[in-house]
Amino acid sequence: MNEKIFDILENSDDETVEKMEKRYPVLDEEKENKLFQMSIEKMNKMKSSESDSSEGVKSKEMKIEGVEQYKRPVWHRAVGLVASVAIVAGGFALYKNRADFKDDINPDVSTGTEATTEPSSADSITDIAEEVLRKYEDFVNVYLIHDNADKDNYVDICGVNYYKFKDERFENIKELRAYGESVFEAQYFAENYNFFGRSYESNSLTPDYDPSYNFYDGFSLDGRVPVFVNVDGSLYTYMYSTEEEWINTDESLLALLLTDYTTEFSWSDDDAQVTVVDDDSFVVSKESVAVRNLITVTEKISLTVNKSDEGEWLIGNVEAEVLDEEKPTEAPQEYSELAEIVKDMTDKYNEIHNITSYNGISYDENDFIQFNPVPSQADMEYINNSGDNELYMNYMADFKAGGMGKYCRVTDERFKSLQDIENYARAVVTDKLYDAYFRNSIKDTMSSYSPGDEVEVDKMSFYTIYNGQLYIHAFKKEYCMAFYKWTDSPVRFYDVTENSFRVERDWLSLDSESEETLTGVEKMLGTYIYTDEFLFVRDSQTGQWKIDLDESE
Amino acid sequence: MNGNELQLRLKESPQKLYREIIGEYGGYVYAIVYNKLRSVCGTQEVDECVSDVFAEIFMKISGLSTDERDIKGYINTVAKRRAIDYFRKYSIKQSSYAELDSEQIREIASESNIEEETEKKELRKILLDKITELGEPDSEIIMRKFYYNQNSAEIAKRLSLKDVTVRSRCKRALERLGVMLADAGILM
Repeated sequence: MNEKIFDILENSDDETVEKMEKRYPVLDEEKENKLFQMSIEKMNKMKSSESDSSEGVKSKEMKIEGVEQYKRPVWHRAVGLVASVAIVAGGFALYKNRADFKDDINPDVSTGTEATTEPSSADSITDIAEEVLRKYEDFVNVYLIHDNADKDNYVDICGVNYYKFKDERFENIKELRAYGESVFEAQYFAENYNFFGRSYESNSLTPDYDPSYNFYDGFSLDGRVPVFVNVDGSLYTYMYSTEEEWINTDESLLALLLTDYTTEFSWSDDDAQVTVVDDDSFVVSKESVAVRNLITVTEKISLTVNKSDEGEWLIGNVEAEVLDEEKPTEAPQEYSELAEIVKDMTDKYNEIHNITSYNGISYDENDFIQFNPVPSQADMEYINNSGDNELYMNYMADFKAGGMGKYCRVTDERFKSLQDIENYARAVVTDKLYDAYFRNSIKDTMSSYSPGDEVEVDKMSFYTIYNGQLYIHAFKKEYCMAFYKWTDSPVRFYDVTENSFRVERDWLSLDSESEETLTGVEKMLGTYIYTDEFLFVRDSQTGQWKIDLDESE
Repeated sequence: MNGNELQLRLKESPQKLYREIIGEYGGYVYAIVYNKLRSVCGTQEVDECVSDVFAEIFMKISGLSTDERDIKGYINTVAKRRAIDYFRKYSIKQSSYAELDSEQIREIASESNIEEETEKKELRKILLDKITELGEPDSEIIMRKFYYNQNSAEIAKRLSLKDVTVRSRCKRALERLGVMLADAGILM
């Protein structure tokens, strides 16, 4: 099946366009808000231009409240998640929410794990506290650490990957639950750690979304995803097997998960403090260090431990106080050298983009040659198909106004020929990317014409050589919409190997008329922050880094 | 929304009116602009064009006639005009630079163009009907992937699916679509 068939939908009649829009609406509220902001800012600019050209009185501009970034960087997302966890009061700080699950597992306890029982005469409360701390640490590592699943052995249940659990002590949910109940009081455990789902047979699993098989149904109040399930009688968990998988998981899915992404948890070397409440209860506090959502967090954990009727010492409550939290700012130290290379090369990439697409090169407006542009066949077909006479008149008005056929002499001393521009670009990007993005812009189709000749408007190349000098097709300023300016946010690295890596860098969209007043534009357009992703590869011959065409989905 | 309602709402709260206009016509304008610019522009340029359209509409809204006709016709014209401006600008980089004589360039409507357009319209209808027959969510996945050029991650987010689910469904849906089109006499 050739995907090019979808091109037939282009330039459709009004009825077809409306039908597509109704059936497959592409805008969501976030996008509508963004378009609204952009439109208002442009309207304000247009009002300012009109006022300036009349009596110098500024029009009343409309302000927009509550602006947001178009795309949130990964580092900031990580901080946001931890902040939400730290705010949780009175509950276990390593979890975001409670959830009540129904499950079909017989709750009868059959445990191979011993609870901490009545101390012998030789034991002291401190020995018991030490034992409880050891069990708690083990518990966290079993339930929450996201590297204890077999990443090569997983099943897809309704679009969520569940990995086979590697801890051989627990074959199924029943055994894992029994273990949990040997550490915590039953009610506290049920309220805070009931992360169990259903039992599945692998031959009945549907990897694709299927509403009739939806495992959310009847499992939680909020539609949250269970952490543990049984598959063919064995324990499986949804925990991410790799950091990369967590980073690339969309926020909407993260919101369905019960736990943060925790990769380490251990007690610090500081002494624990024990506070005896009465003969049957004490509180033990100790400092812990965890890596949660890629951030190192130091907390003081306080466990309230109670003696049960059977003489077992079980945790009845957990409190956590964040003492210190690493703040992600610049890229990790090991990438600081690469970050400088990335900034330099993406600056140049931006420049090349402007030179080849947006009149981003210096030229002399008064030193020009003039051709005679005529309407393009493609445009005329489109207008004729619409049957809209006003559209036709407006289109032809641009030709009558003139200015569309003007080529001005380039004055940038670095570029005397098209070859100079090409060489500059090829020093930054790979051949593959150059061919995909820039080759067609660095072409001269005008050499067979002389100034004054008629040329179909969409056949006019960006540059031309005339009398041995380089000229650029000088568009009307309003067409030059998108000069770019990088923000001060640090670049962000992903998938780093010896010969390639990916980065994200944030930028602002500016128009050419505002280039000279960047500060003012930054304030006005500060909300239009986009993020560019780049793939860097090492040139096999020179060993230099270059920006490559990223063809991954 | 007609001209009368517009003028009333404009007096009450312009910002609220503008937001409502985008809420009511944003998808419509986007569809028109995207349908024209799809082959020459990326998402950011489409967004720029759409916001140009609405900026122009907002600027001129107080001058619109206060009658009962829906402003949709006016919005349609503004959208198409802006889309053509952008198409002209961005298609320069992608044209095939074929040589045409001036008679061909100036040709307005011809019988062969009408016939070709009629055939295209019929093909579009068949294609869209067959895509609809795929059922949800496959039809939406297919349209977003191959018409709106969204990637699997974007589609997955929109439809609350996992990336891998989108990819596997897409592949199977495309195969099914090919068979359905072949049955309808369209071979690709």
